Amino acid sequence: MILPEFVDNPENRCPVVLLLDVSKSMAGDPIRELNAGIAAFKWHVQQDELAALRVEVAVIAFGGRVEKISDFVTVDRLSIPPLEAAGDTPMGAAINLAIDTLEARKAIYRDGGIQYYRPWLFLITDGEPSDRASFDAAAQRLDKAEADRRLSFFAVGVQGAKLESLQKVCSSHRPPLMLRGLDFRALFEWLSASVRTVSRGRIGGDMIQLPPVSGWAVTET
Amino acid sequence: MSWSLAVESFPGRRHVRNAEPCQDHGLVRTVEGRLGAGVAGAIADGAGSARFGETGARIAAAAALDALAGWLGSRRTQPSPRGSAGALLAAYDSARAAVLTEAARMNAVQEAFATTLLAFVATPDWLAALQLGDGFIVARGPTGYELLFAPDKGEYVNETRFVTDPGSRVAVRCCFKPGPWHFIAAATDGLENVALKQPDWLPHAPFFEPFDRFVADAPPSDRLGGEIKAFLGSDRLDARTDDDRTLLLCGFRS
Repeated sequence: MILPEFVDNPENRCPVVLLLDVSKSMAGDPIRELNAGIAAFKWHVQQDELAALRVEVAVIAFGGRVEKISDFVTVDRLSIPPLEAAGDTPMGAAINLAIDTLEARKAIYRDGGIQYYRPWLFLITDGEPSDRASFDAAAQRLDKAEADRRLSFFAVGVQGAKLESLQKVCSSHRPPLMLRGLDFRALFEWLSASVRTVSRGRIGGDMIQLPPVSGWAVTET
Repeated sequence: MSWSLAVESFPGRRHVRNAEPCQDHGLVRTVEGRLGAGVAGAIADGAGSARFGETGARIAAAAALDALAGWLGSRRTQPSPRGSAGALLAAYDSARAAVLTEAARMNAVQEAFATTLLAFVATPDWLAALQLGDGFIVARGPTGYELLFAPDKGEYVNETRFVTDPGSRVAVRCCFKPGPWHFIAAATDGLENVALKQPDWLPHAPFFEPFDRFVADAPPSDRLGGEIKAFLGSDRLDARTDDDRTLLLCGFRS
């Protein structure tokens, strides 16, 4: 089965999952800035003709429950209602859904004869997982997926986040980063620049050169 | 009895915009010897992410071409498949050694010279070729257009193998094929999507036929080159890819 979207647009695809913490601690300024950041991300990717055809985004939010806000679509079709903050932090279940969603998308690409880039899973959180048992298993699964080169995982902590939990899900060569203040816009600008780079570049092995993160991440002094 | 041949590279929009050089390099030449009309060609695609990818491509292509042309030119008897495999790997070794030597001379890490490499040597009676990384060589033989090696992609479209990868020699693919071969085309990955059909990478005959017919008329190499250049720079192609692209063509007229 070849989906109409692959007939209209046979470009290689660069899948990105945004895995967003919308638990109650994100209420107020953080969730507002996160929403603005997503809009900025969409806008920046759309400015790049080829990236607009290649980058596909899925959005999964977790806060009280895990919800797939959007399955994979190119950014022109990405429509995200304003996210609202509520509930606890089922991060483990969210990670599992993100990996499942990615693998399902890859199978659809293969069926449709579409070539693709290594997917990105991009986690933004300010908290501790509330589903501890599920989280530990999900962290192991994520670690293995990264080791098997099935995806590239990035984690960003928002103020107040406990880096120890994030470190658990991050591979040693790509440790979690802390967002400076609530500069989600700068973070998403970097993400759009990075996926634009990835979606047109070619790399050997793990040789990936991304823009510097100094615009938004707290760098150690 | 002679070969018409030409090779051209065209920088992709991305490189033009960033004022970067075209990182593809292609070479082709005829080889005179006791085995009759011979031809040798090489193309290499320097990694966009590698600082000296362009230099790596230039050096690898030149070294592989020299080795293969030298081998064919000095032969007195038709090669065996096994003998050709030895010559192909020796050509690969000399290309890799030349790239690593240049990296050492410039005091740079070898990854900075990352490049793919495709090379072939042929007479109308047989064809021997090697490939590391993506791109393709297609030849017209007894059963029509034939792709010699599927592009080496792995799962992800942007990840391929480079001459500078540790242990890359074991990933080199070699072949020897009895002919007759009267048309050979080689290209870097920028043309894969227009010349090969997914999902099985079958050669797309409507892509190759016009070139095949044109080259069979034995045009002078500058006219053939002009034709390739016009195609590589066409708006139609520019809309499909922003990558560098190289196309090498050889046609034999008996």
